[in-house]
Parts: sequence; structure tokens; C-alpha cells
Amino acid sequence: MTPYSVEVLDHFRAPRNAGRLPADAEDVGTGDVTDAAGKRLRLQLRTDARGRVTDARFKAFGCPVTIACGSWATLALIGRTLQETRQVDAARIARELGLRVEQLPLADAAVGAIRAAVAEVSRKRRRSAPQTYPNGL
Amino acid sequence: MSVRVPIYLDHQATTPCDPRVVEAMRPFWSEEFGNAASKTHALGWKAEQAVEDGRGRLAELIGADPREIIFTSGATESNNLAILGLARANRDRGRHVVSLETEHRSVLDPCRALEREGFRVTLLPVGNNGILDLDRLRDALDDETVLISILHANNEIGVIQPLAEIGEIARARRIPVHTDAAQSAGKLEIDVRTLGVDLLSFTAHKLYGPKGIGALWLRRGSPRLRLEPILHGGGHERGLRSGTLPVPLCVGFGRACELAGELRTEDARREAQLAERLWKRLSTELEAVELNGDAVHRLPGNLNISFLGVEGEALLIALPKLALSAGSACTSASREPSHVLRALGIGETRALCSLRFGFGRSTSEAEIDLAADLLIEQVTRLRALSPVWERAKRGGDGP
Ligand SMILES: Cc1ncc(COP(=O)(O)O)c(C=O)c1O
Repeated sequence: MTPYSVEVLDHFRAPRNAGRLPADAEDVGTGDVTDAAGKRLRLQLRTDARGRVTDARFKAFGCPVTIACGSWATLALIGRTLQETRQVDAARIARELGLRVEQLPLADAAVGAIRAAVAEVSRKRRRSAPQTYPNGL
Repeated sequence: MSVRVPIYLDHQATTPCDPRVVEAMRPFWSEEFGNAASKTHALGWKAEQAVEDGRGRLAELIGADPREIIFTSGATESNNLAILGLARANRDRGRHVVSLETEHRSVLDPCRALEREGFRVTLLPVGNNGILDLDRLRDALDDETVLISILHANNEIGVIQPLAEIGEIARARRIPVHTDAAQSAGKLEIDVRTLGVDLLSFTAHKLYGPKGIGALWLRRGSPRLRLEPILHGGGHERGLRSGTLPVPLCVGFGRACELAGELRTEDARREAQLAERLWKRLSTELEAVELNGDAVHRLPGNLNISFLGVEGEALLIALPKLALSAGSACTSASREPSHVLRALGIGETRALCSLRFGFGRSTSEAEIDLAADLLIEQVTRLRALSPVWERAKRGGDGP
């Protein structure tokens, strides 16, 4: 009996938005989490000037659930403002992907990656917001 | 050429019962149903004869005397009987047992049980190739050591231990050696007179026989081996394993051993060719695939391969047409890197990226070719998703 839901298998077999964004870009935030078992999820998002997520990408090393969480999260993030990404939490991932109890830690890890990516791009935005220029320019 | 799916490449977990074995067992369910211990009528005598014929065939496969064979329910029970039985019967002589880090759970767990009974257990490490360092064995033995248990061929990586040398070291100190030959019996040539051990476990379902029956070979002669039973009852099997014998299974095990004796050489030659064929394709058409365990001292039908950057569990699910395992059957449920691969010191990530391939009597070249196509396709697909692979390719660190 397979422990994977149809939703997980769908994302695993046909992942959405796999890939990478330039991590140094000012409008890109990256979250990269590795769990104790060595599974890894990298989630990246790009925002427009008003702080809305216009693009999201993931890469994952781990079981089908890890990959499905990354794939699903990109779809959930695109179109939301940074503020609204708060609505994407572990319970929601678990519900939408039909995760089993023992798979919940992987949803937590995905949320960790989302929060880290949001925090990074928010930091970058605050830093560049005042638009001060060095002397002489 | 058409290939039936799923392609079974998990022969270490179990093998299909050979139709000739099923045929040999058939009369002993409903017609010749007697109890081999019934001494008072013909049904009992016939059952006893059938059991003894089977026993003789087991003995013949491993070069033993039939009186040295004790039927059990499988290698798990044989290992328990050998380890618990021998240690407990000799606890007045000493309370130290030596085994190996890469043993099957059915050896490690009885060793743990002995620890709870006050025994000391030394689990020896292996080298990067999975083979025991004989000096470590010499150093581990002391006057308290009552048993050495070292597996013959490993179920995950197929690596074969040097039992002859181990036996020599043990004999010099008069310490009995047990070996778990569940994976090697019927595949490697085994002659217990020269193998170097005193007790040997094997099981029918790994050699195209039925599930639920195994045997322990127990050397006769001096110095006499003392063993305490773990099951108490009617005194069957020389008092060492009470319980009515499953006559059809004894017959089937016997027939499977007979067939293994006839087919072993040809099976081994074919399986080694198939392993080579798969390895060639994977290692030339994919980057960064690595063989785990010694390349030479291994079972012919076994490969354990790491596909760097791709987690084994994900790869298994991506390959529904292949029946494979990411380690031993029980380890794959807990989804942690196997204790065997960790004992090789290969690092957690590489251990997570490994799959085990087991070829058998029915495996064909067409199956191997299709398996290679599917593996190459899915490894490539999953690598494109993998941050671990991306980092490895760039040779740097961080995203
Ligand atoms: C090395 C080894 N020892 C012991 C066993 C247990 O054998 P059985 O299933 O007959 O109890 C197995 C198979 O799972 C094995 O591979």
C-alpha cells in the first residue's frame, strides 16, 4: 500500500515551477531548509514593486512528499502579497496535499522555507527602500 | 520483446517459489497429510520419510550430514536459536559475544536481548568495502567470548565475509562461529566442512522455496556444541526445536535445495552478467553513480548503487514498473539511511541516494534493458529538481 495521496503523486510526477531564481537579485528571496534526515527543500520567490509574489521556484531532495510540498507551495505563493503568504501554513499544506500524520513534519519544513524566503526578500526590500545614494552620485 | 511489469528486482527480499517446488509439495497438504512424529501408522511413516528426504537434500546442498540439520521457521528463528541457544548454554564459560555492525536485524536483535541478560556484545566495524578487518576480530576476542556470529553475504550490499580466515582465528581460541547464510545458500558454493564455521542459518524463501521454513546446520563432533532450545515442547528436532514439522514445507525446501544444487553455477553466471549489463549502462549513461560495497567479493546477483543527488525513496516511487528496494525491506519503512550503508562510512546523503538491485533465476536481459532506460530517465528528471545535485554540479556550497 502506498503511503502517498493522489495529490502528492500528482505533484511528484509533474512538479510545477521547478528551478531556480537568481538568489542575489534584490527582488528575490530564498528559503533553504534541511531536516535531520538530510531532506532538503529550497524555495525562492520574486516580488514586484508593490510586494506581490510574481514568480516562485523550488528544488527539493527528498521523498515524494518533500517534492510535492515544494511544487504545491510555488502555486500557493504566486499572486499573494508578502503579507498574505502568512495564510499558507502547515495545516493548509497537509489538507491540500492529503498528507498522513507521519508526513506532517515535511509540511512544517516547507513552511519554514516559505517564511525564510519571505523574510529575506522583505529584508532586501527594506534595505533598498530609502533609496539613499553614496556621496558624489 | 515484451516485458511483464513490474519487473522483479528484489530477489534479496524473497524469491518466487519454483513451480517444480510447488509440484513436489502438492501431495503433502491433503493426501499425505500425516504427522511426521506419528510412529503408529503408514501416514506418519510416509510423512517422516518425506521430511527425511528433504533434510537429506538440504544437507547435500551444503555438504553436511543430514543429522546436523534442524528445521526451523526461517533464518530469523535459526539465527535466534544459534545465538541465544549457544550463548545461554555456555554462560558458565563466559558472557561475551562478537558480531558485526552490518548484520541483519535477526542477528542484531538477539544480540541485544543477550545484553539485557548480562552478556557483553562487541559489534565489529567494517571497512569502506563492507568487509571485516581480521585484526579487529583478533583484538575483540577474549577468554569470555563464547560465540562469534558473522554473516556470510550481506542482504543489502551483497558483500561476502572471509569466513575461512575468521574460522581459523576462532578455532585457535576454540570459539564456535555461527554464520547467517540466508543470502548465500543456494547462490554461492557452500561446503560446511571447509567453510570455517560451526553453525549456519539458511532459509527456503531466498532460494526459490516456500516461505516459513528455514534450517540451522549444527556441526556434530568434537568439541561438542552445546545449545539450549528457545522453544520447549514435544522434543522434536533432537529436542532443539519442538513443534510439529510442516511436512509440505520440508519437502519444498528439499526440492528447492536440490534445484539450487543443479542450477547454482549457471544462475550465478547469468546473474553476474546481468549485473554487469545494468552497471555498464548506468555508469556510462549517468554521471555520479557509485557502487556500494566491495566490487569483487560480492554476490553475483546483487548491486547496491548510489545515484548522487536523488533520494532513494523518491526514485522508487518514480519507478512503479520496477519492484525494487532502497535497502533492506524493514529499513525502507523507517526511511532512514540503512545501518549497513552507514557502517561503510559513505556519508548520509550518499546513503540516502542508494537503491538495491537483486537479480534472479527469471531475470532477463530485456528486463534489465527496460530497467536501465527507466532508471536513466527518472534519475535525470529528479536530478533536475534536486538542490543537492545542483550544488554537486557547481562544486560549490550554498544556493
Ligand atoms: C541476511 C538475512 N538474514 C536473515 C533473514 C531472515 O530470514 P527469514 O525471512 O527466513 O526469517 C533475511 C531475510 O530477510 C536475510 O536477508
